[in-house]
Amino acid sequence: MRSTKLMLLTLVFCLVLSGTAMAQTHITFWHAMSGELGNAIDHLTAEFNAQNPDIVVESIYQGRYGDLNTKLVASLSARTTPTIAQVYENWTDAFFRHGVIAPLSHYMDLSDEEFNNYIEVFRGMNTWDGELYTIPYNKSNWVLFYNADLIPNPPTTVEEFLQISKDITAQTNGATKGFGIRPTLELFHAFLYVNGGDFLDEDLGVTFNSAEGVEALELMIGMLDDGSALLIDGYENEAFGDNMIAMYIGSSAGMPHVENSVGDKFQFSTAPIPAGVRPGAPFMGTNIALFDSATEEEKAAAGKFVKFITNTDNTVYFAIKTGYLPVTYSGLNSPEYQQFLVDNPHKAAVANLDAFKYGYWQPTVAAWEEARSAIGQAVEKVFLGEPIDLVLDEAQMLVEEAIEDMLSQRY
Amino acid sequence: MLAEHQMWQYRLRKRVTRGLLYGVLIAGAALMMLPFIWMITSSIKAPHEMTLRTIQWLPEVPQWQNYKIAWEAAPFDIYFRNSFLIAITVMFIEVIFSSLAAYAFAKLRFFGKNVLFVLFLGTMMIPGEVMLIPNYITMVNFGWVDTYYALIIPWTVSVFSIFLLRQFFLSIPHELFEAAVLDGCGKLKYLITVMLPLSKPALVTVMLFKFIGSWNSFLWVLIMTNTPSMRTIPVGLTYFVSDVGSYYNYLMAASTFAMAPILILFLLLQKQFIQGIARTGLKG
Repeated sequence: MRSTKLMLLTLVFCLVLSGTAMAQTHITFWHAMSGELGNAIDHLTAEFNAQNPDIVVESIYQGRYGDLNTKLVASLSARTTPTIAQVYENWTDAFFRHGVIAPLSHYMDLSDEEFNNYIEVFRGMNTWDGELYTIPYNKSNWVLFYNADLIPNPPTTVEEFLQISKDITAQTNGATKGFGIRPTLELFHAFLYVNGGDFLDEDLGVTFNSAEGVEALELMIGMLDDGSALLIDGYENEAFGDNMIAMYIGSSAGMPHVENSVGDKFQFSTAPIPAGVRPGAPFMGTNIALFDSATEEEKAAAGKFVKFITNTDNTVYFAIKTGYLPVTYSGLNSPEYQQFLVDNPHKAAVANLDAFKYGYWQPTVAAWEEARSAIGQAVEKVFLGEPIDLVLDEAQMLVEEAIEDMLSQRY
Repeated sequence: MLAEHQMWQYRLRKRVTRGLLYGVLIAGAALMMLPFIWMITSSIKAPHEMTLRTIQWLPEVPQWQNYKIAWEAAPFDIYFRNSFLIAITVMFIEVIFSSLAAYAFAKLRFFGKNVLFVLFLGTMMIPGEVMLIPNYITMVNFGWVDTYYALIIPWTVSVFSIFLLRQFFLSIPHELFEAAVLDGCGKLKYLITVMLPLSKPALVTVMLFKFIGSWNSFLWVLIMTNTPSMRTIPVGLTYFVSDVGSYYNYLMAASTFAMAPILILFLLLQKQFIQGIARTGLKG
């Protein structure tokens, strides 16, 4: 009897003690990473929690990017935002304009060296108002995937690229076309950029409705007309793996899917996108944003967590596990990651150091959500045979309207 | 002699027409089955077999481990438990509410009945997506986010079910009601002892629709919950799809086990279900 009482007393005492000692800061991280990516982030979260008993990070999968966005918008109106979340740049811009996010880098205690360690292109994509507002996380770039059995030396210029496409089609009597074209905004951007153009200028003026834009579209249409390219709907890696096409331009994030479709049917590799009047490597992917509704303790804990998951060891761990890029120079240059590239030569172009010099990205304004669908539809219309100049005029009008709406705060 | 010949001709004609009928039905059934067969054979294919541009019905080597991989990709055991719990609860509560409301709209007399019914029907015109964020805010204010309340209670009333049952109730002769009342039967007792047993096909239809709707519900569950332990099967299915590519073979394996319960339920209740649709359709 007495011993049970004693035990109870000890138990209560312990509970009281632990209650005071465990003043934990609880933060939530909403993301859209499932499968291998989800496992990697769960692993890093668990490791962080083990190392920081005063902080509990909860990483929560919230569906695909579209679902995550819906959920964030809902949570903003209900004031139930997470502490941090994975975001695209144009979401960040909308959040920034509404004043609902805080500059994450302020809470990370970054030295100059640590700040500059984040790859410059990625810093550019994450800067608002001169501050590193969000932190790059799963970044990818667009590269040329090619069938190495058919193409021993990948093209480096647009001329070589056009010639190889024709040669492959002729060699195989059209069974395998040189290039696969999926009429997307991203592919248009790739050809537009190496042709010296872009979507918008710094003052948000439309620049894609130009000689460079028309030429880029004509180049793609021309490849379909002379039979050196195949028009594709659905994921390009499927036609690629099935030997219908020998090259396509696509996201490095799709690497596991390419490996699946190709299997051991042939060797494939990647190369930078062929250069036109200038080289160019489009970078994409998401970043991490900090919501302003968090308390100071939560913000500090979030800063610590993001610093942890992007430190050299962990950015390399995530990159090797998932196929995304390390987000820091020290990660990129680490012996472990360099060895990984040696072991996986088909991935080398993805982390090509030159690519970071020529890196560019899609506009990061809130209106881009609407603008990109207008341009995407324009590209599709061109491939359905509508006249390029009319289609681009219409797209320009729609994009200008979207930007005007945003600037006049009617967004 | 002549009669026998005519008889023979008659039998032949009957056989030919029946044969043709069966032929058409079998072709139709095969066409309907095709996607399911494709789903099941695809669920045991290797990744590279999924992306072939030519049709290959069967895998070279059946990849049974796809089921194991798919099952382990997300906490499907929890998702199954939740899906069952939610779908069954919603189904039963909803059929009770709907039959009560439908009974009132069909048989009782009260002020503003028709206006109220039209208002009810009007809510069917509003797409669910429009109400998603206001509903989310309501759930937050109730403190129901991440609880079964949010996943069950808003779905226990369905205007469509009320409408369907009302139309069915209307088709039951009013004389029965009068006779029952004359014999001293109360209104609720009449509903339970006379109307509901007579409306079995309609009730089964309503329940099945509700079960399927709840089983397939995705966006609502995703928005209203934050922890894996509260989520359902459709959320698990998104694990296999991404912006840059999809794991179709695992997705097909997961889809196969995700739809198995619905298939079993349908097979068990198919007689009532088909009858239900046919009868409610007759008297609109």
